[in-house]
Amino acid sequence: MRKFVLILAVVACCVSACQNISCPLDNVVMLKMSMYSGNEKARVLDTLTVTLEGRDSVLVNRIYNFDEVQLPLRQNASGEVTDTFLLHWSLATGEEGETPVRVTDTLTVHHGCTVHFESMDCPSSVFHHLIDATCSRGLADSVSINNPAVDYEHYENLRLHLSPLSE
Amino acid sequence: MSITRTFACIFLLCLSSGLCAQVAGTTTKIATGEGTLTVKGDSVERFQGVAFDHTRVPTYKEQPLFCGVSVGADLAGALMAQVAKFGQYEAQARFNFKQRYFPVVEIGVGTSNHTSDRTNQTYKVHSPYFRIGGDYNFAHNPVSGNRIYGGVRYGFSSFKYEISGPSFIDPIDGSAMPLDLQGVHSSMHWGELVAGLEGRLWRFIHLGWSVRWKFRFKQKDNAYGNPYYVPGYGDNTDGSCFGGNFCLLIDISDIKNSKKH
Repeated sequence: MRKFVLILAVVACCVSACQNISCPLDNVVMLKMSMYSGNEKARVLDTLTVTLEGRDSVLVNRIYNFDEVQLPLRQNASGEVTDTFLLHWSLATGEEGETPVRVTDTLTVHHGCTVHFESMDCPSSVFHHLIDATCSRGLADSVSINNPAVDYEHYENLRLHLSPLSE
Repeated sequence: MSITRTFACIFLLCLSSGLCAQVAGTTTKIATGEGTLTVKGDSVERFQGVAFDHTRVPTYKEQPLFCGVSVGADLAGALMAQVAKFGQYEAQARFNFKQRYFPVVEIGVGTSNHTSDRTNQTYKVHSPYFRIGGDYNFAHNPVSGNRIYGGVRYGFSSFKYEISGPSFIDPIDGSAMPLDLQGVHSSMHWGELVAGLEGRLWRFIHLGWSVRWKFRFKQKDNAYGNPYYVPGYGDNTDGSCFGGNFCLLIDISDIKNSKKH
């Protein structure tokens, strides 16, 4: 019986010993878009700036030598939103002093919004599910949805297939 | 979670102390044909009247098949409902077979209206639940009224909850989107392993502690994530949690016996 009591006391100490809270660092989820050439993931040496149509704010500023970008999506309590991103490409010519060629693509993403409750001690966030994505044919050739769930999992959501000229 | 753990800790420590007290202090008087036999703990200490050459404690086999019904209420859950993040108002009916086997039905209403200091989110729920299961009495003496038991439960709750809190700020245009979820439906099936102690307080009134390890079987998914608190289950942050209760029980069969005497 004394052993039983001792075991109970030890269990009590273990139960009340510690508590971990592991909240995501950032409660804003981002759409992850990778660059593809054919079926292979491609590294782009050109410079890319991304803005949202009708707004001045820059979402991605002059990145180069990249193979993926992360884009924020708008939130809407009533459900679905269409975001139109402008992809401003500045093509590297390879020759010093020469003015780079500028190309702008339009990427349209239609998505739904869902509130996600993580726990009482972690701030809630808004998850998105992609419904449709289209793009103009400038430097980009096409876009496809790889994983429609935009959440904390950081899956590759969109694949931007680049035209053969840009490879 | 911390409240639950704290209560579980208190339950365990009280259970431990109760067991010690029981071992040290249980006294049973057994009426015999020629005197009274006094049993302290599990051993015989002295005899009154004519001494016998053996110290016999009644066995479980000698007990009738059906020994009665007791009903009770969880006092700790009701207290937690008033002062803690969540709690429950729970009643139970317990059937007694041979003083050894105790099929149990527990019905309650789980309630929570908690606002987190850290995130300022508020969670509200007020829904019923039920559990069925059974306990097994490990105590040596079946007629003392004191029981050391282990048991299992199956629990189910179908409930609706609300979550509200600070608005979300749009990462692009800075506009606010309110966090206000109303009437979100979910349900859960779960199991429990129970260990407890029950003692006779006075005649037909019993007092009992139990600690419970609860584990999820199945939960109805919804688009908004896991509910924070599930009525009858407790903190739903992980796939399992600890809980406990502190029950006041009235043994109906003991009421009848005390009236006869």
